[in-house]
Amino acid sequence: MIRFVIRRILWLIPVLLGVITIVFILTAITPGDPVSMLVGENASEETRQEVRAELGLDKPLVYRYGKYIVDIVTKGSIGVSYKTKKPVWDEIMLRFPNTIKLALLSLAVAILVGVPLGVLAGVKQYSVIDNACIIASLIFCSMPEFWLGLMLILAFAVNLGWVPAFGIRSWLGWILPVATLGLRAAANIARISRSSMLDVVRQDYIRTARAKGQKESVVMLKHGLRNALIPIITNVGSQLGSLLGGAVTIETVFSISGIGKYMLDGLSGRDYPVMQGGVLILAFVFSIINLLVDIAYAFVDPRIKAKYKSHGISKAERKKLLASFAKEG
Amino acid sequence: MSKIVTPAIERQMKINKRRPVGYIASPFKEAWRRLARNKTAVAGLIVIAIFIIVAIIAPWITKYDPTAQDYSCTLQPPSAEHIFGTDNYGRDIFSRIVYGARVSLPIGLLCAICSLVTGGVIGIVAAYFGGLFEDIIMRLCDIIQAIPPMLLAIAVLAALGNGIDKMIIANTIALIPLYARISRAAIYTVKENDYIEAGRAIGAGNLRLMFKHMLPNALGPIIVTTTFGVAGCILVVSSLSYLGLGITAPTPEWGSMLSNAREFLTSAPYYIIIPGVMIMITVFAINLFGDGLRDALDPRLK
Repeated sequence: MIRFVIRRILWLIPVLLGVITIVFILTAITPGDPVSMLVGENASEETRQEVRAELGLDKPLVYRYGKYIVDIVTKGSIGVSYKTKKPVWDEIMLRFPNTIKLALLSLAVAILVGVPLGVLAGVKQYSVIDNACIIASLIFCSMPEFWLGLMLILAFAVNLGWVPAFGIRSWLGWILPVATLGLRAAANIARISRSSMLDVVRQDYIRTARAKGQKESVVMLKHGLRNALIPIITNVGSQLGSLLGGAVTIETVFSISGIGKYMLDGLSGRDYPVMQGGVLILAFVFSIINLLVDIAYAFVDPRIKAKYKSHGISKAERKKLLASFAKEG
Repeated sequence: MSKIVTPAIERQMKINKRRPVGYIASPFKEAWRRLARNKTAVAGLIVIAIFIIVAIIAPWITKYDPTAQDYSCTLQPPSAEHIFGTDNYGRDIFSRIVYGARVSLPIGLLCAICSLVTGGVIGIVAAYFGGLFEDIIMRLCDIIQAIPPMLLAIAVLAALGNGIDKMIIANTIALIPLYARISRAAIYTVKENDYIEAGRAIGAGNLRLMFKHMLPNALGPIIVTTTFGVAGCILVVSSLSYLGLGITAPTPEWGSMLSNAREFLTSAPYYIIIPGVMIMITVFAINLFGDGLRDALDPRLK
């Protein structure tokens, strides 16, 4: 088990290196000159050269790539914004709490709404609850999330005036963005929970549990839900990934100052380090989440645990055994 | 010799009433029959068909040019003259919706097909040859999937610039790993079957084994994923063009219409409601169809 965890953690390093490489290649082929964006189209060639040298853009791409990685390892720096001249790391950390708060609150809403509804629908297949749950989740899955956000603004901020339409000056401002992302994720989680529960209730061990006279509630919660949880956990992990991606649009819709909005602003100003840093940080967070999901998965699913155990003996033990064989001749 | 009729055969005979005894439908005909019995899936299919027909006959059912501006009637609510109202340039929203279907639907479909073909081939080849090649491909997929797809699409679009073709490329790159994984997993379920061994024994080449013997038998989950993929792509494309990436004005595309309508949220709510509802209906119908398809192709649910 420990070996599995360590291997997964070490695997993060090449993945992140790969992400850096991809992002670097993408920014390298991005059209548009960041220098023109900074000093304007009409600046003299001299000022251009100066700015270019100051930003390090006169060096070849390979050099910049190497320097970027070395800086991350030695200084923990992911570059300096061309525009504001502030370290991207600091800027991102200023906005990170908002993005992660948005994603985690939405995930909490999604789990609290999605899992119970999905499980209930799965247990009572073809009932009114089931049909209502299927249709509602399909509808929410079928909306663009920014549009759902706009519709919520229209209904609850513009027409009813219960909550502010933009910004997060008070906790009221969080309600709509969290509801937007949360409801969509809840719809996905409910679908997965339902189908996973449907799979489980057909298994023999459920019949066995019923046959031995167990109460239906215990059968469903203890024997059913626990086994149905495995795909649900995986899905929750991938939902958090799409929540981070969705946060980009939702932050724009609700004018929340988060990483997504920061990156999009950087994108339109050709501020490469901002873009690179944002993608890198989000990819890092996403990878950590996937890592945690994998580990949780391994703990829940006995088959994975067995895979890493049944190779049986550890290296030290094998050595000892071989030595004893050798002694015996 | 008297024929022994087991309950299973009896059931089969009932199904094939007008067909010769012993007839067993091919898996795809069988799946199609189950799909046709599924009312919601058929409803989804009908809605999709309606949208496609509307997109094709667009010039004959619209009164106005979708890009023609008319400043004498801007932001008019729905009326008999303009059934979906007009936008801030006085363009007829109904025309723009109908012509928008010519943009939004093919983009969604093309994104899904391009990523299916590239990702699918990569996945199949990886699963077939295995070994180091497969490891490298799968690790590359890991790396690409470490970036949330939406972000990757944004980054690629930023690098390539705007345009419908670039939009398709960006979405394809973001989705290739997903399709590679799914088709690899699907091939794994059929790879060890006897008929593959038999094919190899009679001297079938690698390509023939991969695409003639393995692929058709592993097609079920791949088709289902692609159906949902079209729905997902339509949503992602609309989000991207809402952010002003990929498709630019004055192309009538549902996502960019929403982006334009954003300013008039309070003064012209119908302008922002209508394109969104269109996206929702389309994606809803595709999802319904996909659900039916999955049930029809999944042998466990027979």
